[in-house]
Amino acid sequence: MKTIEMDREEQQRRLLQEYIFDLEDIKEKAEEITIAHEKLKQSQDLVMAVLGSTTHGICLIRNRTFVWCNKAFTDILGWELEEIIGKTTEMIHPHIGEDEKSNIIYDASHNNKLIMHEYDLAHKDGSHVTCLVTGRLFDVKDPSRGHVLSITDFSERKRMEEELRKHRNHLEEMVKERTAKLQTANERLHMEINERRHVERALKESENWYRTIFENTGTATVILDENTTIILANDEYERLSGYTRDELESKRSWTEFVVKEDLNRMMESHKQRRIDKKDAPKSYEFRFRDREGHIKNIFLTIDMIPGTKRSVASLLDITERKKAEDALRESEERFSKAFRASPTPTIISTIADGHYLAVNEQWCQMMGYSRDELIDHAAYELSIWAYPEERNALINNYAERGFCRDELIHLRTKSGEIKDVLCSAEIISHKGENVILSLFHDITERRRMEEERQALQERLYRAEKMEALGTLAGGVAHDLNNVLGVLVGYSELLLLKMDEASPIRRYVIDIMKSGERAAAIVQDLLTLARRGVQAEAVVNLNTTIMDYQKTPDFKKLFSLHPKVQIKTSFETDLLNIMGSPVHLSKTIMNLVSNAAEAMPNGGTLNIATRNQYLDRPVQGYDHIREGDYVILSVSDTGEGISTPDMNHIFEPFYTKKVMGRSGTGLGLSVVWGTVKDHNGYINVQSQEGKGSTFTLHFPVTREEIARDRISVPVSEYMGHGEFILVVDDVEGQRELATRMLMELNYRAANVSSGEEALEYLKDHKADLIVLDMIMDPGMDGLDTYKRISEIHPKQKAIIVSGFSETDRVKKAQMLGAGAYVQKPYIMEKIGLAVRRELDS
Amino acid sequence: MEIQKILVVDDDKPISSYLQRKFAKLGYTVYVAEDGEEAVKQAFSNRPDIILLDVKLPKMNGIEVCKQLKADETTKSIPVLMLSAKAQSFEINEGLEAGADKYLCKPMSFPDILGEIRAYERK
Repeated sequence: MKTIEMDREEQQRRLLQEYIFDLEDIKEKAEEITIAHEKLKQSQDLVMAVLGSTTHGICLIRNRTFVWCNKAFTDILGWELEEIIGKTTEMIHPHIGEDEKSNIIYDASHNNKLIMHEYDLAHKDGSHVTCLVTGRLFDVKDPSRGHVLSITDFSERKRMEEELRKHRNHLEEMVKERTAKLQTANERLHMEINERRHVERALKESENWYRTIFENTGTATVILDENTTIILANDEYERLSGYTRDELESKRSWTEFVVKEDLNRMMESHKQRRIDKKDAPKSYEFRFRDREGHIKNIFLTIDMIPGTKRSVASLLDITERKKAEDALRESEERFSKAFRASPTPTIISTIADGHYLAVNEQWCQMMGYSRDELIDHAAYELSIWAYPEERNALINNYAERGFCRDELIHLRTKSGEIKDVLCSAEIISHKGENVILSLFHDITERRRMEEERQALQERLYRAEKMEALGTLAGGVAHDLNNVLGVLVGYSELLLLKMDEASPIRRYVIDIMKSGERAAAIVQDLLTLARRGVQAEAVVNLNTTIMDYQKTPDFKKLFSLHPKVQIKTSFETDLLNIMGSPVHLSKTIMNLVSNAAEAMPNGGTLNIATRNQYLDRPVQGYDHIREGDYVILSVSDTGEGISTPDMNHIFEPFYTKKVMGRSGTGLGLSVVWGTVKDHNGYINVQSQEGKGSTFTLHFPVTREEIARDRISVPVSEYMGHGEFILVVDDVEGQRELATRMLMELNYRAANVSSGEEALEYLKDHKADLIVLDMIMDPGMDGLDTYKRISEIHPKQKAIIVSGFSETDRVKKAQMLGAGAYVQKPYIMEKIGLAVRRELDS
Repeated sequence: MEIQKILVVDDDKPISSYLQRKFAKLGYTVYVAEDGEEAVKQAFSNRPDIILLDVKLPKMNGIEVCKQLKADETTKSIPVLMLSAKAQSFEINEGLEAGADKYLCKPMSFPDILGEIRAYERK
């Protein structure tokens, strides 16, 4: 109960507090209003007092109607207050209050300016009062609140002014008259006094005075009479002319000292000066002739002596200065001419920030800018320095030595091309300021040509190297081939003869396989030697790649590199090329296996083909001629090839691989040889760590692919007891061929040279001769065949060789020899060739 | 002592704003807090020369505010004038025990309040 009461009391106290504060607040505001009101009233009273006592008539008009006016207003116009208030403004003036542009109210409301006009306002008595009327908006923000007009009675003042002026004029005239008279008298008096004094002084001082000035000027000075006689001359003039004073004064005319060409001009001035000295030049240059006849350049200053017809002239010998000036001007002209006409791009620029002060035409041409685009612009504004640090280096150079010679710098032309330029520069003085004179020598073209020449040389060198290596490899291959022929051939024969269950059969198989592998290497060498590739079949690379992808080799390769991902992109209508399918397949295989091996940690291997027409030669690793090409590219994302390695990658046995672990060291050499045999080109792009791309260009053929040859069954090439003579200088080969032929049901004999063959055939007849092309010593295959033909015209023969000596083989074939069979001997190959030749 | 800064603590907006206006007109710098926690915060941050403190406040009442300020070395010297509608003698005692320098009971006119402030200025 008590608590509730307490709460109520507390509540009441709180409310009371608010009331009290409210009350206080209201009271305070009321007081403020009272004070403000008081102030306003005071101010109003003041305004009214001012308005009432002023002699300016003031009124307030709204909608062309008088709302209020002061006493002066009614006084000026003669109206009573009641007669004006509520009336329109027309009663005092027809133009006040109209909405015309010329009218005062209009101006006031539109410009909010104090407008002043002079109007004749209507007085109550019908007369006019000239008033100065000003008008202004009562409230600028609200024109509807009307205008305040102020009128000032002007008529009285005007009249007063008029009278005053008249009065004043009269007075002034009188004063003027008197003053003028006085002044004239005064002036006359002054003049008389002055003249007398002047003459006196002149008489007294002139002689001494002039002499003093004369002798002390330091320049040759003369006083001349109107008739050009020299009246006075000073020491300096004596020295200049070569005459003594006595010889000069009153005896000689100055005209004697003037060269003929300058005389007329000077006589004109001489006369003119005496008519009006303002029209004659005060100074000029002329050529002076002294007593000895020496010509001197003289700068002459001349003036009249006041009040006389005499003149005083000072002569300054400027011969030396003129010479120096001429020399300087000539030198400047020469420089300027040389600068402009120089075939060397030349500029003058400031040291501090490289502003161009002068540039010649050659510089403009070199940089592609016009002169206007350069002058007064700084090199950095135009980004002319390709490497601004080069400029800093040059500036340091100047600072140290004052010049630089043939520094290689790089400049950017307007078109953005970077030029290699040799710069020679020197600090010279130009208009009193140190600036840089720079001469440039554009060596961009020379460098480019040099680089091109070097690239060409490198390519040539590479080609020659490959050629030389090829010859070497070819020689080795030939000898090895003969050796291998025996190995492979006999092991094949052995297997034929051997019992199927023989325990040593697998050794023979191993021998044969090793032999075959060796033969494959030899085949590579031959490819490299480029004697053995017959690019005669029509091939489509898409097919070749797809065939290769089906081979066990391919599958094996990617089981060894499981992390390598293969992507292929084939051009659907890939054109055909002329080529050797076997070698092309090998080329693809080599490139793919290289690519896979370049990515031991996995990556993407891309095989792509496309047709491409090159309309101009391409400079790359190879120089590729224009034409239609089928492009084969194999790329990897592997280790890449270092620049030094790049020059050797196609060389045989230049391998980065561990010898024996994979490859023969001939992979890329074979690729190179194959491409060259196909009249194709190779391009290699590689970046270390990023991968390599091999791009092969093969010229296209428009021939269609021939139908696949159906493999021939053995029965097709079995012999029917015909007699064959084998001619070969290598015993093993000879024996092998003989045995193979006998195996195929031929009768066979052999001889070891061409000479022996001839001897043998004198009394024997052979159905066919198997003739080795290269035999040493003695006759080779061609010569042998020629001689045999003499004994047995139309003698049938086939030619065998380790590699194709095409020229000689073709000659033999033209004489009648048949097919050419490449070693090593394989029974099917030789059997088929023999059979066909016999049946032909 | 010189008084320039006054902290007015009252949750009744008409009262606090009236006091603020009146004191400001007289040239004082006036801070207003509408609850107890704010009052303590401002007492520390603004360092008023005197505090007019209502007792019934949200968050923390005036008694507690006073106790805290008087317990701290930096604020204990600031005079605290309690201005409350609680006018029972035990309530007044409670306020004074909490450390208030003066206990004023609402309602009070502004001149009376000013008089109290002036009294401190003269000390």
